[in-house]
This record gives sequence, structure tokens and C-alpha cells, in this order.
Amino acid sequence: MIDVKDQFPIFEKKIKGKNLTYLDSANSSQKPKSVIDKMNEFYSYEFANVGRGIYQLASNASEKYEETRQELKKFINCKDDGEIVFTKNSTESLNLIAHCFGEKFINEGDEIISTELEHHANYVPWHFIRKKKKVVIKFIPVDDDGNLLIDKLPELITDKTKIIAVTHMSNVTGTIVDIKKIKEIADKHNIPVCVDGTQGAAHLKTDMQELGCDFYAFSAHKMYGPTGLGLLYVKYKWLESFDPFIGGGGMIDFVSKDDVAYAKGVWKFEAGTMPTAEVVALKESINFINQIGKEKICKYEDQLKDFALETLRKNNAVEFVGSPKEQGSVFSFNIKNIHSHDVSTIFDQEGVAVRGGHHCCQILHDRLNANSSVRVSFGVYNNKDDILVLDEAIKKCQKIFG
Amino acid sequence: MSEIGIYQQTILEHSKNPLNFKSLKTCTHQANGNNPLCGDKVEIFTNIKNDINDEICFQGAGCAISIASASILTKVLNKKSVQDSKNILENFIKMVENKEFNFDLLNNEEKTLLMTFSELQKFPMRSKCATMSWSTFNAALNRDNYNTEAKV
Ligand SMILES: Cc1ncc(COP(=O)(O)O)c(C=O)c1O
Repeated sequence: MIDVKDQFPIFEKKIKGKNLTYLDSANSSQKPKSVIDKMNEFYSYEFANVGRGIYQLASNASEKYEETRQELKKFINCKDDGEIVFTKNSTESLNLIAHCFGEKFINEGDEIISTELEHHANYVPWHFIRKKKKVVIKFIPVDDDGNLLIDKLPELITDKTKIIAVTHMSNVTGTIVDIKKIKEIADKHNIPVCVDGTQGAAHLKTDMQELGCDFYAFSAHKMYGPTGLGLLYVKYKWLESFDPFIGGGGMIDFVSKDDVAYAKGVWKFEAGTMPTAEVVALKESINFINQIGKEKICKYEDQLKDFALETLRKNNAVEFVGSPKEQGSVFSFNIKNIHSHDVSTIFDQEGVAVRGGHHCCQILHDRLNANSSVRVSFGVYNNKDDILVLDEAIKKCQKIFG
Repeated sequence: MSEIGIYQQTILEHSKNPLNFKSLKTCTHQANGNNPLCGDKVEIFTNIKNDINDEICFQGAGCAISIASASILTKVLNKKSVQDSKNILENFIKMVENKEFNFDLLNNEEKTLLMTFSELQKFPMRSKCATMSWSTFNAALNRDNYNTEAKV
């Protein structure tokens, strides 16, 4: 049992006179007080823009900004082989990869391999490349339970395959993808692997040495951190070979009327004023996770998910959308004959926050024959009581729709 | 009646047994609508004869509110003129979005039926669910190139 609810001020709030039962962490997690306080402290007493001024405040702010980068490198174990780029969100991180990699290394007639599990953030940017460069996107299929059929990957690969873009963990079914296995297959053909780690970074072991991928995109706001801040792990060899993503101040080395030379390393990709307070405060999110222990959090969330599945399975009206063998702390379902948005509205009256809809995964919903679904996802602050409230809320929907 | 005003008997009944829930093989006007938030879809058909909606039907997949709203649309706007339909649908959308509106063209029974959706003023996130079929119907009415053969 992990009991950290009292570190999250949001839970002091009543929703329609009831306690908040927050089951939407896959969408965005709530923030601990330490992170909120850090934002406040930085803006109150430490603020200056980074990488520009040479006065003490600016130099301290720059130092703090870089400290978070170092903490992140430890957090995902990226050693000397890679770097962290700060972006706006995971979506931007994935757009950066699709754009920079696509512009440089993908040509007409080439092929990209995606999967049926992907969030639109790891599909639409590749679709842009498909349109622009006239390439083909192939999909690793899933089975009816939402398991990714990695055994089908070898037959999808040709000498035209330029990259494999795959999620670490589905934000709908919770399917955990064996990235190591994909990487092994990709390595035989020298194909880079781009991983959407938006869910993985918050809820799974995230070790770049173990996963071996070339790119790993994630968002601060899903790991108890601030919004407006995305993260991107890039292996060094790509970092140097890419042209910049967006241009402006901060990303240059030298500018004249005839030419521009770009900054080296990550700075080439961090143009303009960055979400400074957010970066600084993210260090507190990492501290928060490390103090409890990532492994302990994963295990705890896993137990909650198992208890929830066990509880909901007793209700015949609950139909799960996918039921994968390896599943993170997310699952989706429908209540027989009740639309997910009606469920969400009724849940809201009970203080239960979930997401209804297709969760930016229309391809997966089509594949699993669901128009939409209700998604339940856990964070470290949830407990068994939340699941009992959820169970009652489901029964309330059934009563209303009778 | 439930504690949540919007899920009243009228809406629940229309959502379970929607009126005119079918496609028309031939019709004069047709349009498709969708809600990108949830992927819900609606397709509306009408046959306009002498400027009157002679037969309105719909098909689609969606939440209780969107299905009930489309069902009620087919009931209220049937046999109304194109011009009156446009006026009513505009005011219906205004009402759901909590703006000033009037239902002067409706009789009391029709007014009561449409006012069921006034509860949605408290649920702004759901207003699109109720208005989707109405704005789709508007699009159908505004089509210049009248379909004689709607795709089914
Ligand atoms: C698997 C996955 N990928 C990408 C994203 C996009 O993240 P963001 O909105 O932070 O860019 C999300 C968030 O919903 C997600 O769950």
C-alpha cells in the first residue's frame, strides 16, 4: 500500500460534494505539492530566462535547467549514448522525430512500420511524411485481445523499411509492447526504432540501455510534472545527423546575412524561450517518483489494476475493450448498451473522473470493434476505495439506463 | 426520474427506441456529421416536397443524448417548411448553448420536447452531443446540389 494522497492538494477539493475519485492519470496525472511549490518558488525568487543573460540569476536558472536534464538521463538510464531534448509535449517530440528523420532519411517509395495500437501522436506525424514523400505505412496487427503480434513484424520488413514507430504501452488497452524483441528484429536489418513512451515513462520500467531504442518520446505532465513540457531521448548518432526542427534564437552558433550555423547537441533543437519553470519543477517530480521507487509504484499500480479487473469482471454488463496478456495500469471497457460519454457524465456526478471516447486511438477502436470506450487509469495516489466507488458508479449507470 | 436531469424518461426512451431510424434509398437532401471528440456519427436524410420536409430519417451510432436528439428532430421538423426548420434548428442550438432563443414557431408539446435538452446548459462538454444532428440537418438543407440518389 502506498499512501500519498495527502501530498496532492487536488484531493482536498470536493466534486459536487463528493471526494474526487481520479481515474484519468493516463490522460494527465495530478501534481504533488512539491512540484507546485517549486514552480511557485522559481517564479517568486529564482526566475530568469536561461542560456542568455550572464548575470547571476540567469546563470543559476540555466544551471537548474540543466540539472533536470541530468536527472532525466539518470531516470531513464541513458548513460553516454544519448541525450534529452526538451520540447512542448510528447506529441511535439514525435513530430520532431518524424520531421527530422523523415526529411533526411525517407524517400519516395520507402516504408514506415507502425502498429494498430498507436496514439494519433505516433501516427499523424508519420502520415505527414507519407503524404509529402509518397511512402507506405504498414501496421503490425493486434489480436482481438489487443496483444501486439510482433511475430508478424519480420514479414512486414523489406529493404525499403526506414523506421519502426511503436508505443511502449497502449493508452487504451494498457498493452505493454516488448520493445527489446522489436529492437532485436530491427537490428538484423539495421532499422531504427522510435518509441512512444508517453505512458511507459510514467508506469513502466524505462531503461534506455535495456530497451535499446533510438528515440523515446514522453511528456512531463503524465509523470506528476508540469504541462507544456515534452521530453525526447535521442541517440547521439542521430542528434548530430538531423537538421533542426524549428529555427530561431538559442539554436544557433553563428548568424550572418549569407548563412547560419547551428548550435551543437540538444541546443540545436531548443529554439526560443523554453518552458523554464516547468523544466526546473520536473526535477521535483522525478524526486517524488524516486523517493517512493519506480519499481514499487509499478507494482502497486499493477495490483490496483488487477483488483479493478477482478471487481468489474463480476459485472456481466461490463465489456472490456481488449484484454492483453501484458497490461499496464490502464484498461478500457463499455457498459452494455450505454455510450461511454453517457457513462462519463453519470460518473462525474459521483466525483469519478474517467475519460470516454476513442482516446486518440481510432485505428485501435476500429480494430477492436468499439466505437468508443470508457478508460480507467491509475496513478500512485489511487487506492482500493477508488475502485469500489467506480464499481458503484457503474451500477448507477445501469440503474439509470435500466 | 433520475437525479441527473438530462437522463429523463423522454431522452432514455428516444435513445432506446429512436423514431425514423433508417436510411432513405432516394431522397432530395442528405448530410453526414461526426463528433471528433468521440467518433460518433450521424447521417440524416430528408425528402423535400413543395418546400416541406415530407420525410426525415436518420442513422448513426452515438450516445443516448445524440440519438434521442436526432430522433426528436425527425419528429419535430417533419412536415415543417425549410424556412421554419432552419429557424427552429438555429434556436434549438442556441438554447442548448445557453444563448437567447425563442420557440415561437412551435406548439406546446413540441416546446416541451425540445426543452428536455435545456438541462445540457449545465453540461457544456456535452452540448455537441445534442446539436450534432441539428447542425448536420442544417448542412443537408443548405446543399445546393440536391441529391436524388443518396448513398446508403
Ligand atoms: C500513448 C500516448 N502517446 C502520446 C500522447 C500524447 O501526449 P501529449 O498530449 O502529452 O503530447 C498520449 C497522451 O494522451 C499517449 O497516451
